[in-house]
Amino acid sequence: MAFEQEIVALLPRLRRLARVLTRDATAADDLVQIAVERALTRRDQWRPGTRLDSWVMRIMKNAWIDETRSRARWGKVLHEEDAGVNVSDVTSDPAESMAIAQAMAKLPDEQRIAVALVLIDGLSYADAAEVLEIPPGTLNSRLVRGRMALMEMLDQ
Amino acid sequence: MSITDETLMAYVDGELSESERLKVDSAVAADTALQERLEKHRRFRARMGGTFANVLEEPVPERLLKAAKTTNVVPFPARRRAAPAWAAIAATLVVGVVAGLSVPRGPQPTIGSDLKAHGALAAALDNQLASSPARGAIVRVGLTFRSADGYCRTFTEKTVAGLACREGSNWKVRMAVAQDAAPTGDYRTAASETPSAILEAAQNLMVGDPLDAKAEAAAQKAGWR
Repeated sequence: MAFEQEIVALLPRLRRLARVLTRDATAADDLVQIAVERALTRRDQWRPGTRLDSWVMRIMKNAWIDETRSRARWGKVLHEEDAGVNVSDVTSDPAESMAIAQAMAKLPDEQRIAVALVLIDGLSYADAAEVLEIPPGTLNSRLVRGRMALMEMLDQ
Repeated sequence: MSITDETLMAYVDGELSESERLKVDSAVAADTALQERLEKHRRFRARMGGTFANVLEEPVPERLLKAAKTTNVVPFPARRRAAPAWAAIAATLVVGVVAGLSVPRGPQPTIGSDLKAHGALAAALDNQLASSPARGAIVRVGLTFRSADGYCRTFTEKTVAGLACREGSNWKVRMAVAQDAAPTGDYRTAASETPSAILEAAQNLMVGDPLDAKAEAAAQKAGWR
């Protein structure tokens, strides 16, 4: 499949991951757009034969970290009670999704993204570690800590 | 034997080896409290997996589709299948001479010409592996793939980019397009991104996926046959 087509095929997954991270539909799509634009600009850095999804997610992860560090753009949505309640969320259980995303927002960024990649996007530990550019052991400890804290918060 | 939460999590994530999994299975079979804990982790994983699942079903906004189809590197040139009307001026303004090619300057790709690659270009196409580009090479190979008729490779040079396919023991340049030279004239930055017109042509010819490093090396070793 052509490069652009593969990126298009990834958009739904990228949008969901961004939605979990930002909890705001517009901010999430902004993040996806930045990631896609960066991916296309740097397409010659992607090595055919390696996984395109991991590569694009890594770009999106870096964009998210850049942006959340500056807190200039998405910082304000992190505390708002009404953030992220969208008409588009009505198809599944928006309250449940938002409760999970709000609990995740209380985790340190590195635990939140580890949980999002493995439990929500469904990546293997090895793939998630590759996206995050960390050793598998580090991924595992972030995942375990984030997950235990979340189970506590979500009372399960 | 005590089983940690970490192990139970890895179990429900499908990350345990066969032998580790069997150990958990037999421990769980003998211990209802442990079974309860495992169930808790299983439920949690299932619950998390549904988060914003609806987003996957949503139509993707137009602006993202547009972003995914536009390269910022070069403006998308109009595609022309017809023979370009460049022949008359070709003698005056040509680029790509270093690579052994003469391509008219301008945004329109030269298509389907019967140009045989020679010189530095032929050498790069014969020998260079896209997966390990030579530093400072004049011509850089981008993508290697199979078309219905054999191997094809994209290449970039300081002033020209193109697509060449193997025919017999030669590389025929199927398409070439002039590029603006890097203002510094630095060869390291000169072999820049492959223009979208070339990538699009490559995508149209491509059968399957581009070759990975191993397949590329094997094809090179076999003389691109």
